[in-house]
Amino acid sequence: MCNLMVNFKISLDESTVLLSSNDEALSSSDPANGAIKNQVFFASRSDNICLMEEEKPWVLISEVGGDHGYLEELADIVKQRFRIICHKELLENPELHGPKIQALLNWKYCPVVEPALLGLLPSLKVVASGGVGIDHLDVPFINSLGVKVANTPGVVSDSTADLAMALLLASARRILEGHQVAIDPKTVHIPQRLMGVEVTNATLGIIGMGEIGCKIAQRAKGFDMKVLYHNRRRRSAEDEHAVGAAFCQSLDELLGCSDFVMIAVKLTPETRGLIGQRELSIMKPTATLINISRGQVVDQDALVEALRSGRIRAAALDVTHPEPLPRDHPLLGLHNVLITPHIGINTFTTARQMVERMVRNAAAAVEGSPVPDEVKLQ
Amino acid sequence: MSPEVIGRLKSGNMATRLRSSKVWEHFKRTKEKSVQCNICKAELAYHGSTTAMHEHLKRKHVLTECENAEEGSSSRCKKVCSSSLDAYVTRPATCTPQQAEILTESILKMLVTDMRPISMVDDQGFKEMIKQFNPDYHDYYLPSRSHFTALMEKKYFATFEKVMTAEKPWALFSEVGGEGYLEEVVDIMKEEFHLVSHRDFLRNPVLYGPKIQAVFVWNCCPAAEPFLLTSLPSLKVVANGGVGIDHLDVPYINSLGVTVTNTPGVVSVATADMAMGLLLASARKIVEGHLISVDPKTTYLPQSLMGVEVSGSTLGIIGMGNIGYKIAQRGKGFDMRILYHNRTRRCVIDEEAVGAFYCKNMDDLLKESDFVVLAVNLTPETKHLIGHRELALMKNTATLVNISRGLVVDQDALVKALQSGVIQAAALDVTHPEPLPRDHPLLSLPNVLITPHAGTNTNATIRKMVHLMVENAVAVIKGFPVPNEVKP
Repeated sequence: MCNLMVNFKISLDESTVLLSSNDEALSSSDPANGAIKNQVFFASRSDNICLMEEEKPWVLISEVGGDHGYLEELADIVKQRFRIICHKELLENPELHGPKIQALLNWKYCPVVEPALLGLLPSLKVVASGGVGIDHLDVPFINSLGVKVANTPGVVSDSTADLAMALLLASARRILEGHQVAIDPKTVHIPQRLMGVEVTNATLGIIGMGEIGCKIAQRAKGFDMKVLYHNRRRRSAEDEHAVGAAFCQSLDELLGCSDFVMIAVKLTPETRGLIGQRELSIMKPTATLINISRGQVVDQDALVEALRSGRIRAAALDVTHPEPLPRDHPLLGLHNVLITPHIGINTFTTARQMVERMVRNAAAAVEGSPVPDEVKLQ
Repeated sequence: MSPEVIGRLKSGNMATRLRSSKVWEHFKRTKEKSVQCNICKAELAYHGSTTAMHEHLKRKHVLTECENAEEGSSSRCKKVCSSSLDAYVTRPATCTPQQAEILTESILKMLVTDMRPISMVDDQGFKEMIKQFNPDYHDYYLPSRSHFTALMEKKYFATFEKVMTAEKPWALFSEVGGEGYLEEVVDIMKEEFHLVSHRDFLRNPVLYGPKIQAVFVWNCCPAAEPFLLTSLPSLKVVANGGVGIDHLDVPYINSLGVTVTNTPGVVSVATADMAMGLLLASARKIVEGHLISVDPKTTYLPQSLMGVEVSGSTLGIIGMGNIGYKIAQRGKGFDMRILYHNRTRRCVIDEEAVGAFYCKNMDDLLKESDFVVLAVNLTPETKHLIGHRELALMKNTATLVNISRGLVVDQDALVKALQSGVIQAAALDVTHPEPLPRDHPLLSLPNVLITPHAGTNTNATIRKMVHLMVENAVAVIKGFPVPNEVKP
């Protein structure tokens, strides 16, 4: 029997439960205390638990703050369950910090998960990646070291689909150009020739009808667009009917009929270079290509050529290869290309939800519980 | 080839006088390849500078007369020659006045054969026609466009009238090209009407005035003012391209016995698409993202470029007409919660179809919305509908989207609200005036997206608008039921 003084503090907005205890009771010699220490209390919707600082396991992330690191409020989410070591800190003293780290949070490819890095982390239990794509992780190799891999499906779908539609509309209606003309110091008249293409009633061809593809179809339906899709497996009649999408067995058929071609596949050996010169030449000359998957799905050189020669009308890309492109890359100079810096999930709401998921996955792995979003290869 | 005197060159500082003279202007304009000195009849080469000419004058003519000038000196005379020396310079004419007249006749004949009134040809087309006949033309001798038009009317108007179908009525429109219509859509108007451009009408109102039964107004041009309307005694209809008619004094025009029509319906989807495009581009920082992506200084992907979530957010639509309703339909696709405010509530079926909730009080809509979209028409009631008070009611994380008219928003209040963070961002397809003065604060705020009134700018929609505009005008003239009469 252990005498534990446990205080609960429940805050109404966050529904967090603060667990604190009398230090003397929680001496490590009592095995019962050890069990309580390691137990996870699911006391709230958001699964937020505040542990004592010393009990929190260590996690490796890229960096906090600055232009390229985690925003402070996102880092705070991580700090609720973990103590943070930044990549730079680790590299300064790998012998000291390395063995402490049990989890690695990977977002926007940072820190790069290479054998060299993994070698510094003997206690690593999990690589928790942010986002749903895991093409940047060698999962079999990581698994072979006894380390689990987790991603964050589901939470990213809405905002990625939103960005896909944003790119489609901005490209079709030439919003970037319009804004630049509107604020240009030399503008004296409203331009009459800044014509875009009609989105309503146009044909949208979605390549890759996963969760994100389906959400894009749903949004397109609101614009009375005719939706075609191509996927490895045909979706159920119910799914198709819900978004008014028609299956195209042949990718070529979809390419030939679409005014807007949306790439929403994941990057695998089969989808690498899926859209090349041949595919671009089948597309209508008035068509727009939108890519929110991975840069490597498109043959970039072929795309440059197709845009220059007018074989397709325009392209809108949230992803390129590499990211960012070298500053002298021809894509940057083309007037009919819209490029965004991989911001598919860049909203405060989604980023928060995503980091919460990453943390939950990492915490589960560290505690030895089943990892909710573990990536298991067939 | 008869040489002609085109300028006299006084002596003195030869280089300066030469450059400022009409002679130099002529050379620059026409790039004549050779020049003849009228004093000694020598042919001089012209290679793009006047050096050869000046050298000739200096050596052949100045030096022989002016003892003070030094042998082999630079092209600038060291001293002013006391004796004034007029150097006559000529250029060979490539087109005599007689040749020009023949050219004019040929072009006129071509226009008549093609049944193409000069109104239908924009300035570029006019130049091209002339080049067709004479590739080396220069406009020195050829008549200007207005003179051309006058000639055409004087000589060929009767022919035109006979040649063209007598039944087509006459219509006044602004212009082709420039700030007017795209050439592709003028065909639509030509099918039903003989067209007169505003420019041609103004030069000869007595001739055209009595014939004109319809005025097509596009982008507020031509201005349907009393001065114009009273010179059109046969006018039956002012047909507007576009749905907004805040620039037309409808009661006044009606008082002249003239019907006003507009083009609702056909503009709705393109405008609703634009509203959503602006909403999404602003929320997800598309313009900023692109500028970072192409910036020569970018070396990393920025982690801090955060936008606001559109899915699941609250969309407040002020003005639930055709366009507002289509916006609601699009918002539903994003699982947005839709509120709307309108003079009259829509029927339950309409509301349920898009999942929209009616806000009798506009303030409630303003308080709860993440995105406020203005889709009203401009009337005395809606002018400055959104001012300081309304902006203060909005969430400070909210975005204002305006696709109605610039005057619906108090622009000064908007600037202050954006500068002080009272609202987060604005996306405007319309401003007042259009375009804004180049030093207007809205142009430099980082959280403002502005497009140049491009709500209907797709070829498909423009064609539909012109079709409907023409259809309305024809219906009024022929006495058929008018699809889109504007009643005050």
